[in-house]
Amino acid sequence: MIEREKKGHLHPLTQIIWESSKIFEKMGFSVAQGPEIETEFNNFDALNVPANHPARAMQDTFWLKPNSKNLTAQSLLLRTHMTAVSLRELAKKQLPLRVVSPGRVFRNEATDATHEAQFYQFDGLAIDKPGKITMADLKGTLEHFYRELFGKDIEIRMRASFFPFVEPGVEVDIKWGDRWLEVCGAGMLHPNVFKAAGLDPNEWQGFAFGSTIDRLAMIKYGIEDIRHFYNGDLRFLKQF
Amino acid sequence: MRFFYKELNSFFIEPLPEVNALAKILTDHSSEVEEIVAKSDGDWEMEIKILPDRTGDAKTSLGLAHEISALLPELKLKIDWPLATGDTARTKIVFTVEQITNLLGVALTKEQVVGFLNRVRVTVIENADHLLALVPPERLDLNIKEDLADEVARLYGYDQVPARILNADIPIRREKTFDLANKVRAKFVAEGYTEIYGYTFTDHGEVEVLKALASDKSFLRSNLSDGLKKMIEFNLGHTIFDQDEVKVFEIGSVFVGGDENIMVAIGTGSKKPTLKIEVEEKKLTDFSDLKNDHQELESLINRDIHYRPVSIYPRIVRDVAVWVPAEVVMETVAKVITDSAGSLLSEGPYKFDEFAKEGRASLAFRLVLQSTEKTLSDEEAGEVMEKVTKALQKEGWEVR
Repeated sequence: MIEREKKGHLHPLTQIIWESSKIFEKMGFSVAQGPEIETEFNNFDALNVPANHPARAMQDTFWLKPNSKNLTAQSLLLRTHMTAVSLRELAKKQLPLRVVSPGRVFRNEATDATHEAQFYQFDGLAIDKPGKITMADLKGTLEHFYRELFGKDIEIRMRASFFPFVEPGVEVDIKWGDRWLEVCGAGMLHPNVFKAAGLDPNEWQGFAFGSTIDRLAMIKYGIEDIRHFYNGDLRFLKQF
Repeated sequence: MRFFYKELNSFFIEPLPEVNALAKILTDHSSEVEEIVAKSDGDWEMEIKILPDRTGDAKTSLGLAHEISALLPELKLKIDWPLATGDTARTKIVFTVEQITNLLGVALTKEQVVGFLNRVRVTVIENADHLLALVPPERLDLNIKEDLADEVARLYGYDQVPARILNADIPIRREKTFDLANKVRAKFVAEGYTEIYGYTFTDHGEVEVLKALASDKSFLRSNLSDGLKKMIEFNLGHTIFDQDEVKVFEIGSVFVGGDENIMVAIGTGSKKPTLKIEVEEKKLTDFSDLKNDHQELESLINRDIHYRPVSIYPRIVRDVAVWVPAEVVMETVAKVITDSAGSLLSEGPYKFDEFAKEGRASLAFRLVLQSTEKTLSDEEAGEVMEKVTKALQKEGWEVR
């Protein structure tokens, strides 16, 4: 940096979202977007997280005050995952379907160097007739994605896990240095989610995944504190 | 959840694999082992994150021993763990091998599928056109054929599942909001504005959240401008030259009048001649007529990033001016400065003045010195500038 620059800079998360979308577009995925305020149904019920299920307590949610001005509907919240947008796409019933939904999500948790109440996620959905999109396609698709983003040599593993909206469910880790880092929850979309979207789970099948974006950027660039993304410090942002 | 290696071992006739090997098997196929602590009596304490759907059967030592025996079927348990029968079965699931292989994308035989399910004490009864799974009473989580596929997949091992990449065989639909936002980004970055992401939570607005993290974060923002102004003010405190402009923009959602709208806020700030902060905010859709292509964003992606954390310690700004022969280019001089200043140089050298006289050129640079570990003293800054001066003089150039 010798001459003062003429151009500004794109936010590092914009850059990761752009690169991620490009990689997925080459595999037939379109980008989808949706609102940050969601209904309880789209964010939880439709995704097979019933009201009394312990999984709902896994996520500390920002619920909106019902009496807030001009908001009459009950049980509105700030979306806790981009899977809510995936569900909206599924409910359009334009199948087969391949979408990725990048966007801001919210969790009611104390803030520190690795946790923010707002952060970005990248959700994906690929739906087709039974047998066409399988666990093997999920594995290949995510391996390809992380290798394109981090380099061909990156090690990736899938291991058994549980998320209410998929079955079977897996956690995806990437190896960075000598540590395995969790970057993505994924699996085959649960039949109950198809039903909530008004589709017959015997007719359709596919995979879903939800990957962190902030954490990918932190890993890729060696950023030590997630809060840098949101405090607007140009000494940070102009490095990207 | 805490488990002890010796206790787990006591359920088996033969010894378990050593603790790290056991932990790897559990993590890959069952539940993640988060920590292993050596105890003074030679035992190991294992912290295991039992998956939420398995708290019904795998949270006791016996339950986890059963799980381990399913992962390592060659190891025999001391006490028999029976397969489900028509009498003991909690539920029955109708399925076919094809349904399982369709989900997994792995060509497994009926014998393999039945074998994996037997390991978790699910009995499989063969009928003419389907299979019937008898689920043992302890497995509250097995209710549909997809649950059986999960058992088969994890016992088979995800490392054994082949990796296939999807072909781009279905057409891409363009997302209008995403493309328009990227067009707006490309426009403003090309014009010298840097993109910021602000906070959704603020101290005033129309939509209030329950259980806010803090009293100043209890509302959702009703505009981007208020946050952008604060960020401009903050950044004006860190400009290198008094005449520097701060130019930023944000694209984000605001919550007002019962609606969620995506807005674009563009702001500039300067200190001289007087402090001035100007912010304009429009709807994203007001930019719908933009002529540029959303693909232009590609050329603004930085693929040569060398991040270094912003120091929390104060900086010291120093200038250096040097006479060089007319044929010496600015980059050469800047490199001598960078190489000699060392790691305390956090920004610059920025050339801010240049003129020629009698076959020589005068170049002036500004350097920002800052430590990531402590507050620099004037003496330490002086030492850096001394090194820079000597390096420039060594080239035969006159430091002014």
